[in-house]
Amino acid sequence: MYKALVLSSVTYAQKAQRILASAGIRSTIMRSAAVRAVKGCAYGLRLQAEQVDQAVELLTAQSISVLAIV
Amino acid sequence: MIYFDNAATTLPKSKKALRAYKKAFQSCGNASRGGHPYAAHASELLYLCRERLAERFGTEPERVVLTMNATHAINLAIKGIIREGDVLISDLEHNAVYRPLYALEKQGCIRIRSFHVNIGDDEATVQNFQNALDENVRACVMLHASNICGRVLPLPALSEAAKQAGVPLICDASQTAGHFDLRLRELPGLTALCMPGHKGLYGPLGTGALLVSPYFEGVLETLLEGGSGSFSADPEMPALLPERLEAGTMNAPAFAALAAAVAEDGQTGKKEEQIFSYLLSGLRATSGVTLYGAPTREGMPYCPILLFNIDGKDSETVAAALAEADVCVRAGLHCSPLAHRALGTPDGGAVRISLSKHNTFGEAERFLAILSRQITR
Repeated sequence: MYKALVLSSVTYAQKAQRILASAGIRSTIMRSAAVRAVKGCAYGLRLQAEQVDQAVELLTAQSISVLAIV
Repeated sequence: MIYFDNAATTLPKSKKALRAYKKAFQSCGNASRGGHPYAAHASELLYLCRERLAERFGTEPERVVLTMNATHAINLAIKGIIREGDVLISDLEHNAVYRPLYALEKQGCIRIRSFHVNIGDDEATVQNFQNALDENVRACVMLHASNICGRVLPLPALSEAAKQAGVPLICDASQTAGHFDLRLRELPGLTALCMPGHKGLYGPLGTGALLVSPYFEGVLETLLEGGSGSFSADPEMPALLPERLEAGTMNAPAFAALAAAVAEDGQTGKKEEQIFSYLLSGLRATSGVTLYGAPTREGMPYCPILLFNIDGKDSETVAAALAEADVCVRAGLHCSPLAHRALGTPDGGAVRISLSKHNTFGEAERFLAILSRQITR
């Protein structure tokens, strides 16, 4: 099962993707209605649901805000 | 053809950059404007450019704002950061710095003040800067090296002085980016670095970057507003860099080329320095030539740029005659009237020659021979 982390821009989604990749977490940058519903047009990082908590922790440690998880 | 106008733009460009541009030209959608592969590909190329510039100049990729040129970057920095008060500049500034500040001064927002750069003495330059840094100064904007005489300013000492005074410092690195090591993380007094992609980085015309210090915690006001690819329902530009300062469609193929160019090593090497010294000696030895702002002793930090006149001849006449002899130079005021005034050139300005890593000793020899013939005509 997958979840998406909503980021504030494509640049932050790209930075986040690289941070997660270096920790062995694979993700895909995507757009969807659920992502858009959070705050308008935005980018999500789709990843395995069971890796969400670790991913959020990693990104928060790097000062990257996750706006929502959808 | 001898191309001695590299301070305007370098030629030839990076071959890798051209290949990257050609590949991207037909494969890029509009970056961050969709979820399909063409848009994603364009977004990736922009991020690659940010990553490489960030690594090269010591900041984070998200603090790299991609621009049309250095002038665009300088305007973004000046109008993004400076609100009021006195703004201190050097007396060698290019119009890319002076004109946006002049526009703000005309609006009554700021007052421009300048400090004198002592061409022969870095300590005196730093002292002049420190003497001018009073409580009224709210920001400093200065070049790293003069585009007309090549003199490199003592940026570490100047940025440290700005930091001690608690004043942001915006640096125009148009002539030094790519030639010299410049790392924002190692210069905490530097707030922003502005640069073209098409000079020392050997990238395409129409590219540049504003790099914001990783230590800067302020918010830059916007200069352009428009589509940003995210939060479209919000009437304001995004709060975070880089999208905050990148309104509209980005030239992804050009930045793909810049990314390729940045990955190459273009720093000023021994050969450029030796050709520069050879030309300097040659011009000094040529009777009828007056040099302006040239090195006065060995070891002074310079970009490979020389400024001169032939006695009794207008600079444009000399440049035209050189062009007929297949030598490309630039004459006049070089968009830097302040610098020309500081260096004491006549009303018609002077002739500038500027080297790249591609120039050769053979070209330098031919140039001196051609110039000598011009003097004796």
